[in-house]
Formats: sequence, C-alpha cells, structure tokens
Amino acid sequence: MVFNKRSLSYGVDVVFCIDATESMDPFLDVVKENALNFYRDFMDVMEQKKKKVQQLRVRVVAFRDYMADGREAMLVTDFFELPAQSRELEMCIRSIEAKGGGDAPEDGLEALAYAIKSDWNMDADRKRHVIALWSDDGTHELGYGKPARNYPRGMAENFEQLTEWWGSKYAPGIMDESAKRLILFTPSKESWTTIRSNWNNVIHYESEAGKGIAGFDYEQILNAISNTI
Amino acid sequence: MKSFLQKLDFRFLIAGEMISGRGEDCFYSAQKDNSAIAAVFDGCGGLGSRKYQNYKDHTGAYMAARAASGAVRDWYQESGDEAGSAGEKGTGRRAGEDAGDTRKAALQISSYLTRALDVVNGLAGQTSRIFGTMVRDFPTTAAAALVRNSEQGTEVQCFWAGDSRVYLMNREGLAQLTRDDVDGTNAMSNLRSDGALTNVVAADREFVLHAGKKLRFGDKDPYMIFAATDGCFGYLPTPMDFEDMILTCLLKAEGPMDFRHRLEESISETAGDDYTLAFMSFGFGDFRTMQESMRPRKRTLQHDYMDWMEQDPSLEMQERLWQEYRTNYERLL
Repeated sequence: MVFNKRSLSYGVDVVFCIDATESMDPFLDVVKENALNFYRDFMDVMEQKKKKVQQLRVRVVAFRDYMADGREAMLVTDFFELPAQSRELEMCIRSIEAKGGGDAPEDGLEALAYAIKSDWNMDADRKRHVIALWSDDGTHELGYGKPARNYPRGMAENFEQLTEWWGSKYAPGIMDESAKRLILFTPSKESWTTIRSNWNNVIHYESEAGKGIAGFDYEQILNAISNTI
Repeated sequence: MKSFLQKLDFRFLIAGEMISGRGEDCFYSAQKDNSAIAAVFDGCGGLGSRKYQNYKDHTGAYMAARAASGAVRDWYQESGDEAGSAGEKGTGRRAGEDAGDTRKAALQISSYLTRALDVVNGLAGQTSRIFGTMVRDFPTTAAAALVRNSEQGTEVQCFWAGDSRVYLMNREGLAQLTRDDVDGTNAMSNLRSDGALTNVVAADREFVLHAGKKLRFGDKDPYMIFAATDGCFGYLPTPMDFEDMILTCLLKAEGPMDFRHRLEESISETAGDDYTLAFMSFGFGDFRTMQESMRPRKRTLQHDYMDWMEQDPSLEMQERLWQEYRTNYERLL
C-alpha cells in the first residue's frame, strides 16, 4: 500500500411502493421477488464498484384505494435496518396480499407522498435515497380519496404540491436533491408519464402487466441508480 | 532556446476499471514537435446506462467516451501545431486575443464532438422501454489540457464539460484549472454532495465545452499538468488529500514510471469508479530535480493541513482547513 486514506462511504435508503390491489394478483409474487432481489442486486452493484455502503435501510409502502379499501388502503412501515432486519423485511414483503382496489386507477400518488416524506438518513458522506414503485395501472388525482374517513391529514393538496415536495434543481423539495432517485415500474398512464417527463432524477420502466423486467433493462436501472448522474 | 521536446520532461497515463471489461472512461494523449495534449473522458454511467445491441451491448456512456476521444484526436491531428492558437507568438498579445483563441478552439472541438456523437447516435438503432429525466443519449464528460511551445516557455489551455478536471501542480501546490459542471458550490462540497451534472457532452442535447484562460509559464517555472476523471479525486475526503496523495507518491518514487505505478496503486485503493489520469510535466529537467522542487511544498502541506486533519478528522476541521486551502487551490481559475 502506497497511500493509506479513508475513502467516502454511502448511506442508502430505499422505499418500496407496491400496488397491492386485486388486479395485481397474477403478478404480485413477481413484484415481491423483484423488490427483494432489488436491494440485494443494488448492493452487489455497489460492491462491484467498490462503493462502500455504511448503512442500508429499506421501508415498505403498500397502497390500494382510499375510497374502496378504508383502513387497508395504505400500509406503511418504518425503515428496516439491513442486514440486521432482513428477515423482518422479507416477512413484511411476503405478507402483502392482492385485494380490493375498486376502480382501475389507484392511489399511487398518495403512496409516493408517503415515500417522499420518509425519515431519510442525512448522516453519510454520500447518500442515495431511492423510491421504487410498482403498479399495473395509472393513478387517481391526488385527493380523490379525501371523502374517506381515514384519508391522511397533511397529505399534499394536489399534484402541484406533490411536485413541490419532490423538488427541482432550482427549488429543492423535501428530499436531498443529489441523493434522490425515483424508479417507476408502471404502464405509460397518468400520472406516471407526467412525472417521468417533468420531475428530475426519474427513471420510468414502461412495464406491461404480468411481464417481468428484461435482464438487459434491469441492469441499466441498477447502474443508473448506483452511478453519479 | 530549448525545443518543446526538451521542455517536456515526461508524460504517462493511468487507467483502471472498477469492473473488468466494463470501464466507461477513455483518454487521448499525444505530442507533436511544438505541442502536447492530455485528455480524459468519463462516460456518464448513470445517465447513459442504456445498452445498444448494435454496439455489442456496450452502454451509451462507454460509446460516448470513445467517440469523444476520437473527436479530440481528429481535431488535434488535423489542427497541426497551431491547435488552440491564432498562429501568433505569445508575447505582447492582449488578454482578449488569448481568450478569443481559446474560445475559437473550444468551438472547433465542440463541432468535432457533435459530429462524432451524431454518427454514434445515428447508428445506434435500438430503442428502449426506459424513459425519464435520468436517461440521456451518449453522455460523457471531457477534460483536456493542451500545452504549446512559446518563445519564453510554454502556454497552457484547457477545455472541459462535466466534472472531469484539469489540474496544475507546481511549487505553489495543486491548482484546479477547470470548474465542475455540478450542482454544488465548490470542489470540497462537490466531493460529498455527489451532485447531478449540469452540463455534459451528449448526443441528445446541446452542451458547452468551456475554455479556461490561457496560462503562460517561463522556462524556469516548471509544472506538472494532468487531466483526471472523478474516479481519481472524487473518493477522497478533501482536495488536500488528493494533493497529498500525488506528492507522497512523487517523493517516494525511484523514477517517473515508479511514480506512475505508485499513483495508480493509490488511486485504485480509494476509487469507487473507473479512473483515468493523463499526466505531463514541463521544465523540471529530470526526476530528481522534480522531487527536490516539490519537497518544500509537501512539508508545507503536511504541516499546515495533513497533520491537523490527522489530529482531528472531524468534518468541521476539514471544512475549516479547506477554507484556508482553497485560495491557493483556486489561484489559476
């Protein structure tokens, strides 16, 4: 060794937002496997690139439809510390059931709002704050579920406010501008197409219901998240 | 008067891949009778991670760095020894004329880069199901140092887009000659913020190839100059650590190639990315003289910065020392 210096390390937080409505039933198992593999594969890529991950945490948001599903419309966990709580995380993800959902669009924007407002780790030298969202459909307008008794207080009033929460280079939002990444695995429907065109740091994998991600595309997504942009 | 080749002590390249066979950096280094160039290109793996079957499954980032390297080579070879110059001798020229030369050269290189990336993009063929604001076509950084002969010594010009850098090191210490195109405030904060690039060479959007001011050095004012991708400097806690790494390797080395070997080993130990560094040195005469010339600077760096950081490695101390260090580090910007 010629020169012995500490190199910078990463703190990685990942939030999985999973559509758990009945229409997801045929492929929810695939999504669960995707989610469980995702953080392992992401860690492998970071390791291959010699990016030292000091802390890794994963949180889960399972979403349905406030108007149709009442108290089961939104299931939210705290962050699981990995690898210490990897068993609990796996049990949590495997316990998600496909049911309810009412009409076709779901309350994916409310799920995204929960994810954005996560208690992100701000202590690491370098940070990655990743939201990965799976759905087989588009979204209701934000606030569609307001008449429901359990619709959350303090939710973004509308899509414009949610966009402010996400932030931009010129007007940072709740999340760290450099750390944040949003990965969408959804069809090209509203509001996902609006988000992919207008929010920064977004990758949209245009998925077809029931079909997994091609290895070719998956690797691209992992590389995009692990590298500087 | 010494010839240009007598003024050029030596040059070398360092290049390493994080994942064997998947590196996205590239370089170009060459010399002529009256000039030399050292350039590096860091294909942006985050923005350009899309793969192309027409390019044997290589990423857009990989292809962009190679296309950009070829474009700079073409520009340098076709421009003759007048590359980056209006063809007049350096003495007595006004700053505005120098700036005009440099801007003109930057525009020329930009047009070569644009043409090269247009060709690569045109032959790419395949489309992807991946969209979004984090996906770009054939993005790469570029940083180049061009050194030309002059009557009194040598003159330096540098060109860049993105966060690859050109550095100059002389008896006064390390100096950055390029300004990072990053959402960040300075070289120190950019290390930690890991911010998004605000300008890169790419096929799908306009870009700016910046030109630094022309610098002149007399024959008795020796210096090292090098272009580096962020894998070289971006994973050390402070810019002071990078200068210390270079000087430590230099002073322990037995000769130029040992210096190169030690530097590569040190960079590979800390890098979290592919790394490429294209190095040239001018005016020292020989390696021992270079070492002796730089020894006082290493002592100053050790005493004023490194010893303090060893005693107190806190972020607050690093930030305080950086504020003292940066005036000298930014002296040539």
